[in-house]
Amino acid sequence: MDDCCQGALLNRRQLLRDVACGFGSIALAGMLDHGNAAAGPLLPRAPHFAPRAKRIIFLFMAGGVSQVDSFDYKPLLEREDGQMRDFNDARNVARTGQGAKSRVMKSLWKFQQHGQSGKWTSSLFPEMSQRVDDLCFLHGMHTEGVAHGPATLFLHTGSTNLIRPSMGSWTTYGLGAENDNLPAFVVLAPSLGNGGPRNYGNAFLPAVYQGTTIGRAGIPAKDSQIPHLLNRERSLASQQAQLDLVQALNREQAKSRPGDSELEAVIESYELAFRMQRRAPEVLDLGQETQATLNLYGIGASATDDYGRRCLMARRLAESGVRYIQVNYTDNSNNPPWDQHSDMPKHATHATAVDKPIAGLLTDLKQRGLLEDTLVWWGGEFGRNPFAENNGTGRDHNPNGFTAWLAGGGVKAGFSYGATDEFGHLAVEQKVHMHDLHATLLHLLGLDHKRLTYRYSGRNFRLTDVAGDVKQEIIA
Amino acid sequence: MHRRRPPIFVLRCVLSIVATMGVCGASVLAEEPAELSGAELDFFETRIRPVLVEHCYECHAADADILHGGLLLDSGKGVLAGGDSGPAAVPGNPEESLLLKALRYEGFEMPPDGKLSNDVIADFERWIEMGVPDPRTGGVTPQRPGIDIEEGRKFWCYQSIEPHVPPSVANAAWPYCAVDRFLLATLEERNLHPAADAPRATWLRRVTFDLIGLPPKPEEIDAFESDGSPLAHELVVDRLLASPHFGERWGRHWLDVARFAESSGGGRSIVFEDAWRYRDYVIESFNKDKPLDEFIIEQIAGDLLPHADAVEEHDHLVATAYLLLGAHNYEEQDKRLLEMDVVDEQLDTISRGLLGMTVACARCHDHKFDPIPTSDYYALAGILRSTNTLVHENVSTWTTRPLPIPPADAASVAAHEKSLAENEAKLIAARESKNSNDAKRVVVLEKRIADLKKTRPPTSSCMAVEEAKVIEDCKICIRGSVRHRGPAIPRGVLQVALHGEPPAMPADGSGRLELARWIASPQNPLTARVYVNRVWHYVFGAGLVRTVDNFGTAGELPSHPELLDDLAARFINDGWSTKRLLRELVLSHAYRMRSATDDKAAIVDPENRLLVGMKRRRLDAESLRDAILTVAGTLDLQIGGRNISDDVLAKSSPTTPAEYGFEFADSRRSVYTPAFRNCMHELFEVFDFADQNRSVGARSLTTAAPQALLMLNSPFVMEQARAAAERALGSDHDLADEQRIERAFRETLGRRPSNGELGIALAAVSIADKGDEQARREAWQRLFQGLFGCIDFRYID
Repeated sequence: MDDCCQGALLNRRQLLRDVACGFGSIALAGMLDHGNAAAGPLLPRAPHFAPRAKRIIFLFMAGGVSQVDSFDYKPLLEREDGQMRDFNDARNVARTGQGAKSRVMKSLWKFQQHGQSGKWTSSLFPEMSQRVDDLCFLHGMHTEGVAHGPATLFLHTGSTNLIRPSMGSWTTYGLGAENDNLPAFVVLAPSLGNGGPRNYGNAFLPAVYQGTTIGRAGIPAKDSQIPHLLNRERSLASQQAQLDLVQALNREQAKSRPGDSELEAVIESYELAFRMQRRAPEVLDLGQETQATLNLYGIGASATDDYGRRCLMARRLAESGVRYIQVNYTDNSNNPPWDQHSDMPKHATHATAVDKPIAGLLTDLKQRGLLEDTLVWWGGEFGRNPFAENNGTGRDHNPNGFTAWLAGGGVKAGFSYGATDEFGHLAVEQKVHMHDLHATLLHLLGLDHKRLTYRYSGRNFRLTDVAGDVKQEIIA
Repeated sequence: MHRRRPPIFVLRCVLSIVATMGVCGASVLAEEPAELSGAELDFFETRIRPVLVEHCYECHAADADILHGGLLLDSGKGVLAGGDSGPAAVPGNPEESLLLKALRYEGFEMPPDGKLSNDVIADFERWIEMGVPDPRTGGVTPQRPGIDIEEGRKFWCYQSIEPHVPPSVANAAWPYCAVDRFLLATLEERNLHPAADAPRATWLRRVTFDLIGLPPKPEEIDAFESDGSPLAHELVVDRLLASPHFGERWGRHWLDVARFAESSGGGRSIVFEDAWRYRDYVIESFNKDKPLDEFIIEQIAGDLLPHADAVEEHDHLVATAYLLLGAHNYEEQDKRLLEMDVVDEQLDTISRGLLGMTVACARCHDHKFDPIPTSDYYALAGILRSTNTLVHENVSTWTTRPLPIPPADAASVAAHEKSLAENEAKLIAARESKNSNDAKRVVVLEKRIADLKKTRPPTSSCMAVEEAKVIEDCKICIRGSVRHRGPAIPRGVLQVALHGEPPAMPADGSGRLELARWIASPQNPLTARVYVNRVWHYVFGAGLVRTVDNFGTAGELPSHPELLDDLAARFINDGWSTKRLLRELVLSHAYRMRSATDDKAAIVDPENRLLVGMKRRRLDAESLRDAILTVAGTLDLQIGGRNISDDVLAKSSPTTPAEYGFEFADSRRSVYTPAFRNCMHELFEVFDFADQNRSVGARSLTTAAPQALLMLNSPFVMEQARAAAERALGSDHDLADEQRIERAFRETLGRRPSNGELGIALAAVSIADKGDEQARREAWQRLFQGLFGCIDFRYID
């Protein structure tokens, strides 16, 4: 089947070569190499300075993982468990301007040290704990928005409510695509909830910079595909005939306006679509992987199959030159998975689903040398409180102190930066605001967040608004 | 002179003066420090200066890389003058000193890396109590350039709108109307010539899509092509302007500007179940050619207008949904922030959509490009803050109001209510009675009352605003922060666009009606210009001012300023009639030109700003879908009404709103396709439907592979192509393939095929086995899908 496509493609090239007028040459340039004749908005662009990473894989943990149950070890919680203490709870502060007394709740998981770095982590993520020497923990994270919607939008766009382009869109706007047969910004299994498409939207940037979705939260990864990429009703020959017919009509109609770049772009869009149709399924086809690799990601085991497949797809997309790959762990609803308001033990279910796949991804990237120039970012829209919500068995949202980690792509390995207070509640040292993280991620990609601007509605906009501080201390 | 508000930089100085307790004139501040005692000097040098140097100078000194908050702490003058939030220290008054509050992490948190020790904070408290003794002389006060509004008024768009006499032209035979004379005069100045007329069928397809958003029918093409009368064009235009589909087309344009959507989108998306009423109101307003000034006033302040009857009352209430349709994060927990965000969104929609101004920039600081001080922003914000638009809960919602009972139902509702009241009275009497028969009667009456309540005719409600209980001016949010408030600014309008007296703001009302009337006034230099330019943009493919949402200094200048002014002036004089304006534009000679231009024009005017010929335009997503459905014969032309079924709404929940799994299966016109913010029709998604999150005057235009993938593989397109094929083959069995192909081209492209196209099409439908019906249908399906996907279907020539 592949050979047959290849043949068709070569014939197409031949055909285009034979066409004397302008549109053929443009189409041809796009196929043979890029950076040539077609000055498209997705052509690779030089960064502001030498990058440490060429691409980002963002592992989005929707709902907010509890830092004090995972990576931010606070012995005091054990000692003070059950005590009533005054806390400046973010939700209370937002509503009333004041904090409240709450019951300290210790971690449900045991902590111990791991790796050369001696990092304390809990048994919630046993597999990731084996990889701590590759990770750069940011324990002083803080952000905007107490509720999922605002905080999720802030994480992705740098604004809780205003309409702003997403991080992936800014990245592709800044750097262009590495591969013109694939989208530059891919979002695996997004949710329609909590801002939905705005989290991977281009807002006022040109539409080519929006994220291309593969699947949707709630749809099994094995059934996920780029929209309209496959035609399940028609044979390959029939699809070929359809394309040939459209293009024959297009060429006939463009004849009277030779050199019209707008019409050439339409013709080229069909050529690219056909190439994507051939190339993208191949990239997403996990059947080409060895059993050992599949096992590494937990593919085939029911608990980890779904996120494992998405993580492996992410590696394959990274290998193929996709710039920004977001792998969501979320639901297609407004109540995201990690949101344990009343049932902390449920964190274990989610941890099991992502732990092995993520550890597998790190191992795989490393052994293929991809971790060198791929920056992996793990985190959610906020963390959780060290005290019980409503004196129950869950924890409420905490935007004022939480943990994220980075790996590869120019950051220090086996390193921890920043700290929360002794309860693990508020970030107090080496704080990293979400704007700072955005600025630092762009910096690692070779982009100066203050220079990556877009003029819209009479002024220049940027991802970090008027804030953002590059955290040089975490850069290797 | 009109009353003018002090610009914010003056206010800052006033604050500083107050702070220094009566020292007159900001320039005098700490110019000559008083003689310090040895103890004071010692205290400053040992306890204060080292802390300032170590923890503050990085961001608050004249040599800082970036000065933060406009605050300089490297001189005595800087400490007293303060920054954007006011003076840092009030001598002798630690509790009023922002510097101390910031050190204590109250409101501000300084230094940001971590709170200083209590001892250090106590030192600063002491220092302020001592009267801020400071030996540091000199220093600079940060530059705070003010806005010169009088200077700003000189910019073209703030000048009064004046009619102009159309210029004379050499080629006097060419112009059909005033518009043509303006255009031709500009061309003649550059020795350019207008393009030849387009073929009649091209013009018909162009004008039909432009006025009603649908393709012309083959019979209409025949009739027009064979009508040699000089009035043929006018007949077509008048037929289209009178069509009920006109409102669907032009209403949709307005819905872009009004950022219409049927769900909130932001954060937890919530379905706006009643938004369709606003959509229908807009469609009907365009069908009735409601004067634009009335239309604007109703949307901003309909609830405050008198009404003649229940129908008018209904429309006036529904119109105000305009203020409520924004993309908001209703679950924002800081409700003060949510309120200011909603006001900001309303101001952005009003100012960009109606005035072509980017007022929202002034939320945090004076506008950097346009003469709009922050005080203007908060003058407008006060009007909207005095209007109820939110109902607060954990996840807040928008305000709704009951709709008046339609006249047709009034009698039956009144009878029902009367009966209910009578029975309730009887029940009271029966309960009070001691008679044993009445005990049974109580039971009977109770049942009857319950039934009557159950069968009460349903009352409807709509998204609508109301006046707030408390009317008050809005305090400035310093740097946009709701937690740092400056002085209250009297409610008012944009000073730079004010001609004549400012509208007087009522003490007992929000001032919305005054704002609406000021916007929709003939004296307003922006409103008519902006609207006329929008109409021009939709008809000619680019505005006379191409930045249709931005007439300010960061926008573009008009290509034909006198033409724009003349159109705006006549638009006002003609009673703000959209249909009259459109009639002139589409009957102009300019609109009749071909889209191709000559080589000379391509060099002199490469972007065709002077309209040497018509611009080729891409069909918008709605027309593309409607045209496909038309050709397939599946288009449902029902006008108005809700388009999200009860079943779907019943399944909707706060966790999983109706839109999350919504299937776009209906075949009504695209204007009725549920306009959810987080879940869009697949065709809208790839063909640049308006970003429903913001007021959009000019949609983006992209050409990208997902469009091709959709045209090649989408089940929707394939299904419609199949229906079109069955329709083409089902009628008149004796037709030859050539004739069917010709009809297919006329239905899809509004013209006959060229010889080349005919050859391609014939090859596509020829099948080896003539008797194979299945293969034949598939071949025709492929042909229609090819036509749907081809260039000439996607573009209006």
